[in-house]
Amino acid sequence: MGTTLLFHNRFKKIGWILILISIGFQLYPMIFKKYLITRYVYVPVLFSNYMFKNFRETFSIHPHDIDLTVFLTLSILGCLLVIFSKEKIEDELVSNIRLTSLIWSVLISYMLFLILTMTIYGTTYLLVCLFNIYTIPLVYLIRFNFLLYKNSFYTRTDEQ
Amino acid sequence: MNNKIKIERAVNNITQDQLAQLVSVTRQTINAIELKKFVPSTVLALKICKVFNKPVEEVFFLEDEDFPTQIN
Repeated sequence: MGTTLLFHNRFKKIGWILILISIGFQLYPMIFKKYLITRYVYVPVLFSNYMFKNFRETFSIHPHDIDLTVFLTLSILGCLLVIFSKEKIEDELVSNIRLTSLIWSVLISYMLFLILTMTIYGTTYLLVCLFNIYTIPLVYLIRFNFLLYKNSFYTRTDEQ
Repeated sequence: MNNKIKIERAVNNITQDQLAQLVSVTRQTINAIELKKFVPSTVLALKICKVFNKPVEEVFFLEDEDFPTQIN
């Protein structure tokens, strides 16, 4: 018995490394005032247009700013690996905690999104939509690790 | 659902850690079951009973709160 849709435990470490790299990728230009990689790279484009330019392209290869693309790709991949990796011993209590945390995170994420939708307007709302994708992994990781810690804490303090 | 795992462990002189290893779960899981914070699956309940060599209803038993309120 057990959840089969999970990666091996070693992928958790790789996930955290990817998350750290993506954060470093965003912090580096802020601290050192220069970019780690060339920002404008020829990339395959499915669809692209800009709000204030009369410009539109479909199914082509064009130079684009990949700063946000790299950050989002690395961080989303990292989050997926961390969340969907097994614990060292993946038993039914851990599966139960996993399910509870997932329900919590989806519920909180949508509640927050609902509140922000009703209260934030203008271009800032686009940022809300973008960064809302991190609410589910963030709440999940906090809740999941908190419950695991709480359980191990009770076990430590309980007599044998 | 209540259980007598703690009593059975004491009778058989088995620690939480040893029982956890025998049924391939973490010590936290055994502790959570003993504290009634987690209800194990049928497979795990049967595995635990096999360690104590007892039928399942002697280790795990239902309480009044497990039955829905009867409407007269």
